[in-house]
Amino acid sequence: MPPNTESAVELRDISFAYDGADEEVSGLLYDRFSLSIRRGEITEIMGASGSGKSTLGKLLGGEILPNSGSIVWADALAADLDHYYMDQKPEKVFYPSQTVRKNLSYAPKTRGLFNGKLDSWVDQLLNDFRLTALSDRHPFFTSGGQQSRIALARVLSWKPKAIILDEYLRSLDPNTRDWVIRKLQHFAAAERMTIIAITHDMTEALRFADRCIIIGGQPVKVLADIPMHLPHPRDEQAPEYRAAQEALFEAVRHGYL
Amino acid sequence: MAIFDHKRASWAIYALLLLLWWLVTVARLVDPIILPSPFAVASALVNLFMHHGLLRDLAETSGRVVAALLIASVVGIPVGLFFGYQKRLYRLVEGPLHALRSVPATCLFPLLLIVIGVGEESIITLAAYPCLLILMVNSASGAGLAEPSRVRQGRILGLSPFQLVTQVLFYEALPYITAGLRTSVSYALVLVVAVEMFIGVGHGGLGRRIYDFQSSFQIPETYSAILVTGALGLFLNWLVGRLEKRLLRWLPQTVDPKKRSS
Repeated sequence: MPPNTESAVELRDISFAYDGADEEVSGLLYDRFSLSIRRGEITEIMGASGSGKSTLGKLLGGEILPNSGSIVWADALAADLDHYYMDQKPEKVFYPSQTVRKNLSYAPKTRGLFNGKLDSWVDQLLNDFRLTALSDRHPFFTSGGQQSRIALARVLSWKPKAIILDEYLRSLDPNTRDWVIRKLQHFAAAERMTIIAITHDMTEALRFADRCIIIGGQPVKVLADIPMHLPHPRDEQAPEYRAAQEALFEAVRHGYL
Repeated sequence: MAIFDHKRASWAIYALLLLLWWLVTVARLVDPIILPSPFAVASALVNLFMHHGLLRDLAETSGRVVAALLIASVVGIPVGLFFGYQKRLYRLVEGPLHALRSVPATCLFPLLLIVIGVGEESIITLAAYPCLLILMVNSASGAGLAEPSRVRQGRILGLSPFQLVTQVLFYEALPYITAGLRTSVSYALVLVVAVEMFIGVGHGGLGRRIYDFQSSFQIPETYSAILVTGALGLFLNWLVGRLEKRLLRWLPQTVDPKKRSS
């Protein structure tokens, strides 16, 4: 794989503390933290509970703003619609009053995308996420796992250039997670979509990621940055896979995860 | 095969109450001036509908209630949603709005007589007034409680303020709007009937008839008109219930509107 140096987003010297946190006593959660995430890659951000990984996701998604420093998206990904943050709550993404089909067609239709080909695009999304049988239902009348798929399909409906998945995959049952991961990998490859996934699930990282960043400490630092440029599906016997796995185990031994 | 059928049981209770009523009158436990027999009331009811135009009173009262609700909805819901969109503006007017809502509508009646005069308009205005405030406040607070992520998504999709209000905030507020409509129906009927008792416009309406019958000691007729008014209330509530079910068919009843955006 040729070296990928084009960045999707750069965090430059960001500082952040939650309101009400006493900075004198506890210090900043993030203090002049910098990180670059490459375009078209699947980057997993890992860390122990309370390590600030969700905060990082929300900062990247624009849900919260840093106290200082900047988060700079590459020009091609800079528009509001280009990068989207979603967590484990699918009802924050879908519109419950719309049918499943409408949920998938609403955003592209509003933006005037897929002129004349919108129906077939929606059909494809429904099919890809195994929602065809549910297309006339309303999301709250589907199961929890189906709601998660509706939400992801809705976000993908306008083909964002980057998505931030905050523990999202955890909301799927293991079986579904496998093929959703394949769909996402396919999407990332075909559309050159950047995926930033936040998790504490090691197997997810090993199956999914091109790069795994482990954060922790106070203030937050990058504790490990593990490249995982391995072909999909992953060969668990390959030495590169073993090396990546060993690097993650090492992080566990250090108490980083 | 349910042994205890809920619907049948509730009909049985109605029948039991009727029977009790009849027994009380047969046993002469109560003066018929206070409580006439169910048969006297039933025959008065038929007579009123057949020969004394009670149907027209029913139509007039219903028409006034519906007109009041329509005016309240057409003005209250859009203005409320606009306040839900312009939260800062709403915070300014929220206090005065709640203060206005605390003034019993009936207090305003004498004023309305001066401003609008004795007529159809006064009845409808008075009934529409509290409904409008209820629908406005419910629309505004419902829109204010909208799931922020969905509103944000609407904004980044580039929705115009009008689209955001009609395509996103309206649905977010809908459970609160229908709840407001439920309350409004009761208010509107109470006020229309009460005001009809004070002023007779044209034919009169149910309130006027109840008052007139009572004044001329036509007690079975009084009871008949009260029953018809009660039935109208039941029917209007049923209608709003149906409307609510239809409008909120996407929201499972087990999902608390507050929890749905947790």
